[in-house]
Amino acid sequence: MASTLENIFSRSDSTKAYSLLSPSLLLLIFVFAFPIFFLIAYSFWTQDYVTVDTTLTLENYKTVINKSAYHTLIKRSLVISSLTTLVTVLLAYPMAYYVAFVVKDRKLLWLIALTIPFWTSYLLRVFAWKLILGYNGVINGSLYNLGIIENPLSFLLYNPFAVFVTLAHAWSAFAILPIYVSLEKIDRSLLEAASDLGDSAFKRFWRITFPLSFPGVLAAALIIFIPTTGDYITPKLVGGSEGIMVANLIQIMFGKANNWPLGSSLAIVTMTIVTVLVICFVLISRWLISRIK
Amino acid sequence: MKIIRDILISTLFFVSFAVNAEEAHLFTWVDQDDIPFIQHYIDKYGAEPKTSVFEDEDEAFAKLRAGYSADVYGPCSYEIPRWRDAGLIQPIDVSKLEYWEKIPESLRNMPGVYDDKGQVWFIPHLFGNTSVIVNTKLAPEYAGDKNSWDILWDPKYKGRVGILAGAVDTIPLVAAHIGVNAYDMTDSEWETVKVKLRELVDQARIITNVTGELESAMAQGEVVAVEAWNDSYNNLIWDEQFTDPVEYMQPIDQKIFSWVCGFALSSTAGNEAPIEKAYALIDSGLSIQAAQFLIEDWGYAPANADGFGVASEEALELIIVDTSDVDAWLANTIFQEVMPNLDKIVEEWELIRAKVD
Repeated sequence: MASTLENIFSRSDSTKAYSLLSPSLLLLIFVFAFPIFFLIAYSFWTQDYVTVDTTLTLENYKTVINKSAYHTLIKRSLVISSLTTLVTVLLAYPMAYYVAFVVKDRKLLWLIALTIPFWTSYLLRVFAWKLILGYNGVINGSLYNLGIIENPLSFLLYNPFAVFVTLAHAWSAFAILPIYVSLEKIDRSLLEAASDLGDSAFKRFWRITFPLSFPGVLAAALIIFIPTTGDYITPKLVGGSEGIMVANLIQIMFGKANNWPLGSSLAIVTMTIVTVLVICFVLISRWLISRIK
Repeated sequence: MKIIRDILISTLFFVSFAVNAEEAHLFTWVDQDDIPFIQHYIDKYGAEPKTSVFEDEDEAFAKLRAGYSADVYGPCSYEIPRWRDAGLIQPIDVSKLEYWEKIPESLRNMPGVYDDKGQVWFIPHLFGNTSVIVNTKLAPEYAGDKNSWDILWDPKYKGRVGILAGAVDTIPLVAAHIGVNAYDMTDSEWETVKVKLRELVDQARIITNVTGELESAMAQGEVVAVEAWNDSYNNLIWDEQFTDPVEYMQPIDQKIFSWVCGFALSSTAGNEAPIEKAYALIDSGLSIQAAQFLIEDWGYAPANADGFGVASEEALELIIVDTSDVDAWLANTIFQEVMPNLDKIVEEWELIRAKVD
């Protein structure tokens, strides 16, 4: 009996791998899949006041798809998170490049130093930006003391700009590390060979370093884009009215507006849109990168 | 030896749980579980009651519907119909309460307390107001007799006002300002209110339920007027670093709003701790110490009218309620009640507030 089991499990490497992973895999499936399953179930029900009607219906999806207010909200969230992703990755790349290529020893120390700001809680970082961008905050205070402005600038806080700045800062560590890892893995001898064969520094970067670091860039972009679309705390604290994103409304649905089915369908629609966009982005960028000669 | 010590510690730990399990459990607003509110209970039973807190009533409602329970809850009166319909609370036998008679008539008979069968579902504990605080140094044209909620829509102060995010506060206020009764409005009236709400959202710099944010924005001069409860007014007066004169608006041609928060008895009360202890908790909240604390530390008026007799002179001066005749004063305000179709109104308000509608 024991030997048959042994035989099954050692039949192939992948079976062995899965069986080793299975306790945590099962836990993950249980913890992630069940809530998503309930979310999907709720999106097909309706709620009236305190009772939930479980007859299946597409009402909620029709509401989300037909009401232009929800379109605007989802579009706004996607724009903010795309902009955040773009800027964060653009800023993170040089930092990762510096640590990977220019720093010769004590790289670990550099990496730790890069992550120190993120040893505080996310909420505190958002609050810190509120202090920096605020009416009597660091920026306004300094500009006023230098005599550059008479009245505090009000466009710094409580708008999409503030959300975008806060998100870009708060998520930058998540961008630097994946890009660093893929840059670090690049075989330096390839670069040597290219320069021996006559490539300039820029050409070396464009034809070798960048395409090979692309998996890291892609990972960084996805790590930032997907969560920031659904970010809730930052818009709530620094977004004002115009910076409110879709997750805030989903939370309202599950809270004050007491309409879990509508909230679930809004969540599912957002998730689907983000998934579709991510797949398109991955396919298109992979194809573009493969065209670099 | 070490293992005996560990066993002793864990036993004591579980025993302490068991001991606590016999005390009544209060589930109420943050800070309303402070010592002055439970002192009476501690004096009576020699032990502290269990307490847990919520930040807003929607969070509390969601938690209770998910299965959480306590013995006494601290919602405000407009929540009672919803909590009752969800089966979360039970009627209260007022003959078991020590301070029921001390509560002014108008509060005892306010909407939400009695149902049509004459049963009591809600015990008023404290009441306050919703109106607008104005900085009369920066906006002197709205001082005194010229108090008016118009300031919230004044183009001169665009981007310099703050409002409460809660639908139960802001929507009735805006509706009343244009002559609509939010507690009984038709769809077309609601549309007119929405127009006003959109204008207000354009004007507002801050829309929040965290009153501290509104207060600090006033104190920094970032905003000139905020829609707020009267405890924010007291906090601004007591703030030593903020010296601008402020007024809590009581417009001549506009009744301001009153809201009442209090106690409800859980439908599971008496299951763990004896039900007398739950009643003792309610008594504790209505006691004289609690009443005095409310006036002197928070600036709210207690439902126990004896509290006005023991509080300090200066604290009483700040309270905007006319303590010589609470009933008459309250009759001149609008009680905040339940808006019909609240869920739909909240959804539409939140979309307006996000500037997508």
